[in-house]
Amino acid sequence: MTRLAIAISQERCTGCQTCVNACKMENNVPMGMLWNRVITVGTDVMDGAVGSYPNLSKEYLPLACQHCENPACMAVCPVGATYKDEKGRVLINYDLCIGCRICMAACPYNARCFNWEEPVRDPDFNYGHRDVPVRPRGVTEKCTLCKERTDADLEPMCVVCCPTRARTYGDLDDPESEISKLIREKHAYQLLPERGTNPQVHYYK
Amino acid sequence: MSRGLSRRQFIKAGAATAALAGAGTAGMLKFDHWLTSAHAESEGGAERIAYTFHQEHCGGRCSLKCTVRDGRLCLIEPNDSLAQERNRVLCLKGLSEVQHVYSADRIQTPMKRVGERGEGEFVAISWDEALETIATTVKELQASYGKNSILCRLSGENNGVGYQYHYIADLLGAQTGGANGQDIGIGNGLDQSFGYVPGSWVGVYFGIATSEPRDWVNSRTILNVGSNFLESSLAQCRCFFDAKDAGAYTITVDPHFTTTASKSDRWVPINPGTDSALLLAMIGIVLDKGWYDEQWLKAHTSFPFLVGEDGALLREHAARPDAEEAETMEDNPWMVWDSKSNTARPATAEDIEAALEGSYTINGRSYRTVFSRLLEQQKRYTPSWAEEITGIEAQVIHEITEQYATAGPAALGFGWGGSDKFNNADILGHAAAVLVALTGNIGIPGGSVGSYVGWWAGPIISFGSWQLPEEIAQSEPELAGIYDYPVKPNNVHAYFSFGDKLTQESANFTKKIEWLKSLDFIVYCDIVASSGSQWADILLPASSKFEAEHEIQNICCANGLVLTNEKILDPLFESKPDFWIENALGEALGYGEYLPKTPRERIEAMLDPEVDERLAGITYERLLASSGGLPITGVDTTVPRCAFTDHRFFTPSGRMEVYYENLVSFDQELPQWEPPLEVYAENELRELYPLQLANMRTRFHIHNQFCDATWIRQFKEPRIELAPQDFAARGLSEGEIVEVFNDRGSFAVKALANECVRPGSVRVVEGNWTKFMEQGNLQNLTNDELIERGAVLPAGAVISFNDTLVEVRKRGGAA
Repeated sequence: MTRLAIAISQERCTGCQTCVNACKMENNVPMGMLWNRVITVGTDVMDGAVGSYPNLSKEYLPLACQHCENPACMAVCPVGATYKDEKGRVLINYDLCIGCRICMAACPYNARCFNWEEPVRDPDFNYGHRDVPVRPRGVTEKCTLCKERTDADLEPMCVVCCPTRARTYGDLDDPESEISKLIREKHAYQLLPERGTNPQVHYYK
Repeated sequence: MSRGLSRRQFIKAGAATAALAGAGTAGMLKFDHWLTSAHAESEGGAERIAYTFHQEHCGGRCSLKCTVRDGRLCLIEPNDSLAQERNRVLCLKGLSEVQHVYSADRIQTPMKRVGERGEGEFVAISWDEALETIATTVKELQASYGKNSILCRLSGENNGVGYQYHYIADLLGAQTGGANGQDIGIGNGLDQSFGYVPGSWVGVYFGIATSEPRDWVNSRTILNVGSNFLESSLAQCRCFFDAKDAGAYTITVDPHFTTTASKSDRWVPINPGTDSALLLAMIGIVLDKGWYDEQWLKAHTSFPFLVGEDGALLREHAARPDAEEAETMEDNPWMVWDSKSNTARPATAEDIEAALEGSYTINGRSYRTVFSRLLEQQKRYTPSWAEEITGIEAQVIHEITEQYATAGPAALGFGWGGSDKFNNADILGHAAAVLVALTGNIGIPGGSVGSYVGWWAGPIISFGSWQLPEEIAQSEPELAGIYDYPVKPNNVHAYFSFGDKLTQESANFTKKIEWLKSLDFIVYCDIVASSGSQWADILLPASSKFEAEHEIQNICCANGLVLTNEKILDPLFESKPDFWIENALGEALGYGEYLPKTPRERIEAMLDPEVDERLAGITYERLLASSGGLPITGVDTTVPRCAFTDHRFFTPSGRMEVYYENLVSFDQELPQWEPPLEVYAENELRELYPLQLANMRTRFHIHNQFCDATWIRQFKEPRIELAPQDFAARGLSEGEIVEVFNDRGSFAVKALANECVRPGSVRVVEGNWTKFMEQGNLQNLTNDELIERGAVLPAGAVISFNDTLVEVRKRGGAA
């Protein structure tokens, strides 16, 4: 079996947003939507801090589809558009999606976006990987773990572009993979474990 | 464990980003009409890959692997063909070029002004008309007022504009403005202590670090004073974490809780403009505790040199009045007190024991060692004295001094966006030199000083250049620095600005506007219509560096590589590449025959191994066959560059010189505290204007670059940030428009409360375009007062942008 995943060092994440634009570019994500975001934890102010001056702390959290083992989104999809593929990725069959958005309500991580209108791209052509499907109005979309790249044994674009090398990509089912070792050695954690989704994306300090 | 995270936050943050991103699409252009005429590379979706280096001025110069599909720039990746993994890097700004190349703010055609100057009303004209107008006007002005009536300023700010112009000032016969007043603040006081290091940018008064940040893995301590390295040096920021992983203890001194402060083991908040007081106190502690190596000081520094009561250093013989260059140790040795013979002897003499401390009478005159002078003056710079000024507890100053001076090799870092934009920045640099010399933290693995930002800290090449006939040459600057031109009499009648030198290099832009209005002719050449464009009479549209007419249009050296700027796209709109514009201006001025016919001719002139042997074997053909560049030869770039490993310094004495004779008349031969000009605590002006305005740098822009990039604007809009208590005291609500003002001028922008901001300070990102503010340019009110010491400092006066007091008030109107 294969369970592709990403482990992210929050110590190394400087909130630079490079992974956000890497994802946007590679996956032809329209304006007003992002598959991948970086959150400043604990505050509504981007690049703000928690506490009161000078007793402050700041932490960034890159956030995209967690590629859960038990995806809440998949469980609620009435048409089976969301599925778990043979490499452990949570994917959407855009042709099946009916735009009901129950998956968005179910996802504890707010990882999904919806094409409410005709997608607006700036620049107004299809950028990114040539094989990424163009999503029409009325469907949900999200991180595919760069399916077109990872199918070709390339790392996801967010991993390749991260300037601080905060991201490690690999197979959780291979105990000798770098990501498996990191998760063990760094005592990596998952987001909202109480939800029982068992994300494949892991974080560590 | 949920670690304080909640689904609520994931949703709130998502909504905010989406709202901003949506706002960014307003007014977007449709590109189909011109893309169809732009010579699509191929039909049917075929892809082509080409390479270019990216921006110069963030210190990145990342080599970008660009994918072009149907003539459109579709994908940008790190250049994975480069041998060293560290060079396979880019950041959000590089990626944003997929959109930014097609920015709605591109200058699309040559234009001429139709309204009053400054109103920003233009009509399109042909290139022929633009070039003829320029050539005719330049010739008329030079006939009437002389050759030097043209001022030409080249920016490193924009994609192609600036550093790709090689001889435009010569073609125009223009003066280029002298010292620039920016980014030299700390280097002005630091660099003369060790001198210029060949094959590097160390010692050219920008305060470039003596070692690369890759060497931080050998440091036990990284003391970062005022640099937000993790935002301003994205291509190198992993060095910071590699060093932490290797065990370095990181301390960041900054008024604000920056990203770098938040990632450091310790953040030390400080009053703005007082960093030199901290370092003076640290020097005092090192002296008190004896945390210095006497033998090292005697052998490798100017501390044992003898100083007379007039402040002059004692030399073996009087200086020759006709000497063109400073006499070296060999020419005219410095004198030291030899404890063995109890006489003054040349420092070069054999079999002497130089005294580090002492007062001596020589030929009836009194002398002391430099070290003794320092000991005496330091008595006043106690930790409790510094606590009053810096706001840092004396105990904390003790702790960080002990860490820096005693824990092993230490790096002392500075930046170009905070403490260097004050009148006393040179004193900070000088104090750093003294502290480094005392502790020996230079020329050793892990021990270095300076600004570590960017590729500048790495090895560099000296390129050859295309030679013009001698008579085609620029004019000498009339005035000491560009900051003088708006306020001192001069002969300039026309101003050529390549990139936005117009607004960015000025404090108190309100005053500069009067000068701009008084000029006869302003030409502005840029890729995008940034703030300076509104003042132009003629606007010229430059192509971005992604657009070219030739297979390789430029080369540069960075990160141990000679990098290429290949053709990615055909020029968009009516824009032209820099090479074309420079040649066309040259031809219009009558010098066409002297110019290279193709970029290749110019590049081949640059690749001259006689100029720099490390260019050996790097040819145009090999560069063309490469994937974006070739490694320079003869230097092992797999290890970081470290200067002074033999403890030989490139100063006249060959030692680290801590005593600056050139500053005796300003009482700064050793660093002395000097308060900021405006933001000092007791200033009565604070009753009217209680807030310090900090011009800050961010990961999102390089000065004014990328302000128009919608993939950048999706994250943040221009705003002024206040500490929550200052925000509340003014009754402000989030996102409301405020006026920021003082006696010099004002601007208006949205306001936001941010806990990271030091109470009593407000922050705004420098370089924001006027059009993206609510009103006015943010330099309208910054401090343009110059220090007299600038006349003798090696890089001239510093512009004290951050030494500015303002008040913030509600302006009214919806956000």
